[in-house]
Amino acid sequence: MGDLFTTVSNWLNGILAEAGIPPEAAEWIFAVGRAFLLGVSGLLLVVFLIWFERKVVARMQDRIGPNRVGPYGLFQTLADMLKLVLKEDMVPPQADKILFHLAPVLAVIGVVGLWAVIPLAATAYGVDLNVGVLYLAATGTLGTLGILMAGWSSRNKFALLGAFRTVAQLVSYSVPAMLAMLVPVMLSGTMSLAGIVAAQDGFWFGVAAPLAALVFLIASLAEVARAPFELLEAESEIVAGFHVEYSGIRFGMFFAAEFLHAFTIGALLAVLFLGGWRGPGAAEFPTLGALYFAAKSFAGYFLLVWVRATLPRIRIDQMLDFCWKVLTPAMIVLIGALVLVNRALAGTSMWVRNGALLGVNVLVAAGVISLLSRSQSQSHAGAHGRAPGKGAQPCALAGMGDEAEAAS
Amino acid sequence: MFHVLRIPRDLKVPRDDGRIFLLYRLSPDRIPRCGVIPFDFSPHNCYHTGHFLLEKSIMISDWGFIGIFFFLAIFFPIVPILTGVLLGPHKPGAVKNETYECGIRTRGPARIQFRASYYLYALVFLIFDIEAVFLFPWAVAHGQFPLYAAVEGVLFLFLIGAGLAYVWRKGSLSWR
Amino acid sequence: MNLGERFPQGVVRDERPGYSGWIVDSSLLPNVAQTLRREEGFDYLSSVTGVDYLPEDLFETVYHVYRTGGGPGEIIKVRTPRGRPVLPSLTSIYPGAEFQEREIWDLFGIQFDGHPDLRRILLWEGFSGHPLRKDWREPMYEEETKPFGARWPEGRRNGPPDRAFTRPADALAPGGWEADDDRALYAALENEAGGRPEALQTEFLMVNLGPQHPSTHGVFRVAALLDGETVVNLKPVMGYLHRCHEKIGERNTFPGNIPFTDRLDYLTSLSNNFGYVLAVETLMGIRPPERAEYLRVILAELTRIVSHLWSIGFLLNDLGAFFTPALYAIEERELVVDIFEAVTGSRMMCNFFRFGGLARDIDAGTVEAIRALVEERLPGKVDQLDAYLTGNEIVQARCAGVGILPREKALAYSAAGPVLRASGVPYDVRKAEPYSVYDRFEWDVACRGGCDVYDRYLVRMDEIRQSIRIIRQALRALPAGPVQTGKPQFQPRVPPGEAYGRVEGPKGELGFYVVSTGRPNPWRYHVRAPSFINLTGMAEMCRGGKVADVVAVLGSIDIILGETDR
Repeated sequence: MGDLFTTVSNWLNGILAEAGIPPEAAEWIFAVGRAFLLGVSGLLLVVFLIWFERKVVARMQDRIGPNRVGPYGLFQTLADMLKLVLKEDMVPPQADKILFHLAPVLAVIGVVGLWAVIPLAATAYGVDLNVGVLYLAATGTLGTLGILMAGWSSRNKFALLGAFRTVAQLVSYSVPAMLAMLVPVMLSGTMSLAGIVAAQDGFWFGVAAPLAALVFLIASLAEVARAPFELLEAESEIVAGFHVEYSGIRFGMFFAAEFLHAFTIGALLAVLFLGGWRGPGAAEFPTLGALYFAAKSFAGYFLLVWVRATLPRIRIDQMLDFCWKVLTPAMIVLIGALVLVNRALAGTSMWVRNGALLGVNVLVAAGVISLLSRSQSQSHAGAHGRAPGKGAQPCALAGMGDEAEAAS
Repeated sequence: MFHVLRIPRDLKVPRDDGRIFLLYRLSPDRIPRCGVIPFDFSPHNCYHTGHFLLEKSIMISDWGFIGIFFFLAIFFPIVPILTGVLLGPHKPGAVKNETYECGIRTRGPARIQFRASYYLYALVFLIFDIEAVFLFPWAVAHGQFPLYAAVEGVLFLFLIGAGLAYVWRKGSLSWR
Repeated sequence: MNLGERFPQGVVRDERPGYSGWIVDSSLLPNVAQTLRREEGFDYLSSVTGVDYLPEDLFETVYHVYRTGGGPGEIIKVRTPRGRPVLPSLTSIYPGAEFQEREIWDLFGIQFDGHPDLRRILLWEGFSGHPLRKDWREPMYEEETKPFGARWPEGRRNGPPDRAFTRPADALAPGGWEADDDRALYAALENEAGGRPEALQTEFLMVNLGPQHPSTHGVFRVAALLDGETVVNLKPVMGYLHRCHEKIGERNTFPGNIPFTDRLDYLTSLSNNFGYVLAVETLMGIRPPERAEYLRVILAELTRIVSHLWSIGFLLNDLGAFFTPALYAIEERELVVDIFEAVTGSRMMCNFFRFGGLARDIDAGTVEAIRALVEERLPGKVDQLDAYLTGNEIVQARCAGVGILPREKALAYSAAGPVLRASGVPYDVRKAEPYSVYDRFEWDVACRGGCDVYDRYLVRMDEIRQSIRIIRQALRALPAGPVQTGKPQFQPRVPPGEAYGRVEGPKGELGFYVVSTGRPNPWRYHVRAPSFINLTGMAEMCRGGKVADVVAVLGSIDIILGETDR
């Protein structure tokens, strides 16, 4: 058989059947078991993700990172979780109790829920919804709602600022994210995620439409509120933003949800644009496909970590400008062009069609970049000009006054 | 009731037509037992393992599974939080419970008539998100329509773009 | 210029031995200041401070003004009786006096008429008394000057303390005692903002950033009035780290203050040493030998590199970069700090300068290490930082055009150091009034005209390169010889008089105003702290910006709370 998942599920089926459990009940048990397995492994993955991120960031910063608890510090996160569980559970008396309690729960559900539809391998997924992409968009919003509720219910000024930023930021960036998800849907002709992966037989959509993949990555980064877009919890500005009043494991839930969400973005990037579980030999051996999928997801997640370790945060106005004035128009143009090209070249060979799509992407990207650089040189003129080379030319003391006056 | 089917060699297992297929195996005691169909069920295997395919109307639909999933997902955060509530100390104090504002006693209410610029974006979002949702069915089916349908869709996109340009021009996209 | 001829009635030369400058009648003070600023071109108010001449029963307020074009400054002094100390405020002429006058009100109790917001600044509202007055005594008062008898080896206490220290029973109980300075603060904030926003009946949000805040660089507080995300008005609130450095300094002996200056800006202890030692050497009329001068320059410039690296790294942190730039910068800082350890025996609290020289000589190996560092390692690493940060789109978007402090405002607010030079004023004490041997090296004043956070960052980048340039030259010309004039003294004799020693510290002009009465302790020991005075213009830089910009501006001012709060 060669497929771990099928073998296991057949074996379990067999056991249930042998035990004389009626098929309806067996199916229920099986569904619940699958759901439980998916959710729990997702949450357990967080333990590893946090370790992974800390280790990667540490290496990038010329540090060692956690290395005390367990081999290579692997159990550091477990120790941290234990600490969080043992911390005092504080609910501020001024908080809106119901929303305050509900918020971390929603935040976790909104992220774990995404994993119900993500195909881990050819034969392993929770469920293959025929509207999978819409489901992703809808479920992702639950997390946003959780964050908004957390910020609003805390009745704290920083949390409130974080909540307001949520309204503007998360909500805005779901538009380019949706539009970017439209591209794989369009190219594959299905909204089922398994179908999208199946359609990437010859060409990954990320190769045919790299701009869409990039926009998806950026918009998702913003939706997960990760650096450089972590305005909702911008530590250096509004302390911890929406979760400033949360402590102990309640805070831990937000934390876990954020990390799992970040990894989910990597997974979605893999599914939608990088061929999911596809790879040499994956069609024959689905177990291998799961490995490919994990590798691609971690590559995407690594990208997120890399960005976090590298870039400073941008400001709320710049961020919204970028969303509404760059990403969204670019995606509208891109989708229009892609649809026309895709439709016009419907009968031609895969290479011609994908080549043309790639060409469209490159053209739109070039257009966006040229427009951007023009508007930037108009808006904050000088920042580029002022950037010094190695031979900076600091003005000498004498005769500087007039120049400086002119400059200011 | 189960309908016992002899499995045809060229069977394609449909996954989304609302039916679910169950596997039937002849056990030594000749009592038929059933289970959920394996994911990559292939009729070729069944001949060797003595499986029969049973067809039954749907028991757990895709959305049923989502329902189960969400029901379970509620417990994933609640269990640790409850553990925390049980295991953690609980010693509230007047100062400890104060609203955090960098160590200064907060002044004035947090919930005030706040600046509207955040909400402007939310309103604009509503329009665009709904329009984007309309695009999904079109994107799925555009390959099957004649060319003019694809062009019509592009016209719709153009309208969205025009809306964006209008909002932009109005200045609603400039942070104030 | 002769102020005495200009204002014959009410301005006289300060004739006391060891003193200089002019004694101005308090009613004439605004006129004299106006003349100095508008007509004579003394556009830079460096320092304002008070001195309590208890035996003469008067307060003297001392103003040091300079021309940014360079050259010696003018000192004007205003006397006011201790019984009813009131002076006209100079904030309308030199806005940079705002915080300094508040500090004088706080610590001396001298009132300034016409000051827009005369509140305590370092201590809390409700503090009893003004501690820099010579007759003010703290609850656990021991003696006027060190060494304290109670701390002698026998452990005898000489007599009971003046006042028994009693703590109110509910002093630390929640809700019991509360400092009520905030009411005045909030009122001032709202008054200056001038009413509510117009649109849609929205309201301003009062938010305190700090003191317990991740990016206020210590326990520093910014009370900000926000309209949405936009800063309408803000006021820096400081003093959480106040320990009355100057009062303690006046009880220490002269050499005892050298290690104490380390604690001001704890990143740049050697620069702090430099300023204080210069002031006392002026009083004593000595100069260190050549080798010591060169070593002082080398160490001070290394300190500048350390401070700027730290500042650049943490500016990026404030912008939200997740520690990576900061750690890259700190890595280089470590190497310099290693050298400090080799030279002085300590990595941060160096305590290395002495009156008339240095504590110890430095061996050839260390010289070689410094040379290797500035010739081989640092230039490349600075270029690397430059390459990573300067062209970064987000850094530019967050910094360029943010926190604008125009040239005139920068001068008026007495901004110093990179903040001033990024506003297009090429004012650097090392060039304007060269001290030590700075006039022997070839280097440029880093100066840019952008007036924003980005240019402050760039100026620091430039200054690191210039410092490397200076160190290279100084190493090449490093003469042999002793590093100390005469033999080391535990109790140098400091003749009576006053001196203002100022150096260009990494954060800006760092001045020490020292008054000696011939005794082992300074009568007055004042620090002109650039971290403190640069904050005067902070509200100006932040108004109209976003909350996120406040943090960027604060990072670009580069304060160290040890120096701000003193």
